[in-house]
Amino acid sequence: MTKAGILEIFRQHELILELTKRQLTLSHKGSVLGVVWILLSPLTTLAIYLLVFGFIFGGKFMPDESKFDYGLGIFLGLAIVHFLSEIFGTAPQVMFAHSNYLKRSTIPIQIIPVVTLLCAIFHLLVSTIFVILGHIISKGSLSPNTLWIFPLGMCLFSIGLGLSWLLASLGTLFRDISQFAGPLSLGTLFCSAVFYPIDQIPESIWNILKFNPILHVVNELRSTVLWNEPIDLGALQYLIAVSGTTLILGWFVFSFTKSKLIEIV
Amino acid sequence: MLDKLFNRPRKLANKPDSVDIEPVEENPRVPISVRSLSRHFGDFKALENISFDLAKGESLGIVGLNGAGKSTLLQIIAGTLKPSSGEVLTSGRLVAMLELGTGFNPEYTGLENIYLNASILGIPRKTIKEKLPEIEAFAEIGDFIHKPVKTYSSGMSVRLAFSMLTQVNPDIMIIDEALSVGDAYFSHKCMNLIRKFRENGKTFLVVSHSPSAIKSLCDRAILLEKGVMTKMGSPNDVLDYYNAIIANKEEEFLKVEQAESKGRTTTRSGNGKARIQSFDLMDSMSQPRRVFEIGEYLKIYCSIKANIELECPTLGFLIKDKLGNDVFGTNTHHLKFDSGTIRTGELLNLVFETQLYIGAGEYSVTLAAHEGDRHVIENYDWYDGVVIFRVIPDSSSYFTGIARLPAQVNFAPDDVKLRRHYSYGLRIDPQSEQPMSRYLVEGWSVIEVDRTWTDGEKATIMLDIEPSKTDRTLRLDVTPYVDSSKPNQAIHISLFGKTLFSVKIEKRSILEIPIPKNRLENQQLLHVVINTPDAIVSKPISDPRHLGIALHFFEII
Repeated sequence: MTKAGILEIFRQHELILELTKRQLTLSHKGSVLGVVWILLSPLTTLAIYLLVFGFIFGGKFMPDESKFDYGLGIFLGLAIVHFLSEIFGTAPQVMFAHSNYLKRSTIPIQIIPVVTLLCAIFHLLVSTIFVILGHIISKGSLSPNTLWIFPLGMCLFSIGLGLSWLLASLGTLFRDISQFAGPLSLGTLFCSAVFYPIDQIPESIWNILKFNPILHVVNELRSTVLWNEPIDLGALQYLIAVSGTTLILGWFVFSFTKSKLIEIV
Repeated sequence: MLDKLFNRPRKLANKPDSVDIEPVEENPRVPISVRSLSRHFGDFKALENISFDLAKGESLGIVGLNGAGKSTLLQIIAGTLKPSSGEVLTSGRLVAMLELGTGFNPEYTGLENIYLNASILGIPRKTIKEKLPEIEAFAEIGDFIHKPVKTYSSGMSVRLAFSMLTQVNPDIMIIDEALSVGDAYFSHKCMNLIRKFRENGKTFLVVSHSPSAIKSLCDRAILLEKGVMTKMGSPNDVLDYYNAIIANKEEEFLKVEQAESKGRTTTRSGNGKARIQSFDLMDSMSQPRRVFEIGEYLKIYCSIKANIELECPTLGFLIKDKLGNDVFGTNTHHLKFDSGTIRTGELLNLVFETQLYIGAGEYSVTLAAHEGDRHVIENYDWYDGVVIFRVIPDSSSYFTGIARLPAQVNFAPDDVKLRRHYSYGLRIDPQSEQPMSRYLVEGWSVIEVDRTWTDGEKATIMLDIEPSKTDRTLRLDVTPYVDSSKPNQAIHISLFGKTLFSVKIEKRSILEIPIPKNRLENQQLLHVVINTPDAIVSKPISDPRHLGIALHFFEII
């Protein structure tokens, strides 16, 4: 059943895409600027953080870095954190939001957290393309190390999907979970080296923070894409292990609780 | 602890997470097999030991009161819910329309919603793109398909949702309470579609509160009562039993409502000189009933008690449809029934009898006791919607509308000649041998002894005339309608669509209109159109007619 359940996701790709499209347009439907908001809202956030951390606190990743490059660095980190925040915020309630589909149709419900993931990926992609364009404008070319974006992305998406399933299930069973979405997002934002380079982290704190996989995603993406540095293979191995575990854990928790979920919503 | 919290998914032959279901080897020909199925929600037993098999091409109706477990059963068969014990084996592609328009979002256009809804039902996007004209034609909502669903009437969104039915091609189809929605025309269309599905050997499972849907669509029916299958058999048998339950239920309900209604004046009003004591609906055998077939006898029994001596009180009933429209009502006064004198404290028991030549649907009965012919004069007791009954189709032919009029059809012996033949020189008046009425096509009032009034601004005479080799004259003897405000009437007479003659007259005159012979070369229908633009409604005599002129006779010489 588990295997068939996973395969079903690929078989239902059309439905997943339709639902994703619906989900993506839903929040902008009826607004004046419409899809422009997909770009506008992360840019506004970026402006605020750049103002506070770049200009007021005088933050820098590199000693001789321009404010534009610092902005790009923050933006990349923010995009990744937003990706997770979106999942934290949406997944715990997503089954309730789709209760109609659960009760009134025979669609396989494991695809619903997948839709959540795809929406988050879409927003992340838009921001990433922005960063890469910005980087080309600033530096004139892309480094070959940019290709590391693919394995790192896969790790991030696996973590996202695992969390999406996990939170969709737990958030439905225990409604308190969704209350943690805010603190969790804020914690991820400040503990993932979005505004500072990792070598600024004091040793004592690093010993804790080094287990945060998102910190590594942010740091490795930044160093490979923006600073043309080779990837830290140790970090990559750690990410692969964590993302695999999260994915499998999320899937098992979800399929284990699936029949319960239909009854609850 | 976890095991207690979560029922470990049982190994089921139908995989709830999949729409395509592999055939079950052990029983390959049975599309649905339900075996001692039970479902509990905590202590509540929603379903208890349900078993049945459904053969290919068979269709099963599930009836039962609200909360009887019908929807739970469908959800388990569709695979969205898991049974507590027992199993459901299904084979073939299953499509469940558990709720029409699942995923319809009011912000999106009909088309966008179709695409999402289709993918929920497992219809590929490509198919929808190709078959869009077919879907649009079925939905019949025109350009609204490109507008947001929030702008739709409820009927339109139902139409749109149902149009998806044209594109699904399942082996098993499950429909939950969907056929009673929408207007009669559209639900008929849906029924036809489902019949076509059935002819193609598809298996159907239908939940409906509408007995007519079950009767006309299903081969078999089961009745669920509080989660237990109490009856299985032909739709007629099961529905009769079900109707009996409803009747019992409604009587209980009535008692409650009567008790409650003491403080309520909205549904019951009257001065209390007489009170309706008891009432019931009965069939021709005087058995209490709440469900009748079209054309069946309905007896309404009613008993009133006089609180003071009443001289020939009037008792009446009124049947209203679901929307509150009066369908039919009468009373002892109209029926010229002498109810006699009733002394204080005495009862008057009456039985009205009528035959229900009305369309299928739900109706309510209102009873009233009053004086004179209408309850506005002196109202003793007016009891609105005291009892609900249902009319269901009988075995005879289908019809549309709210009333069954006697109708028949035959082959016409030949091209029917409408007898408007006119021979030149014949004077046509109300007394003539050739009835005047056959020539007066439209815009005329009732024919009086020596005249007939035009009603409205346009009146037409139609004559079937022979060819003529000479010029002819049409003579009309007319009297204008005049009063102090309107001293004369303008009259325009046109032939062959052209105005040939205009005049203003104050008193009775004979108008002579020449008809040139070249216009009369063939046998033809001659349309004489009389326009009276000044026709008025006469106020002093409160006549609703729009009087222009009165015609006494006409002739063509």
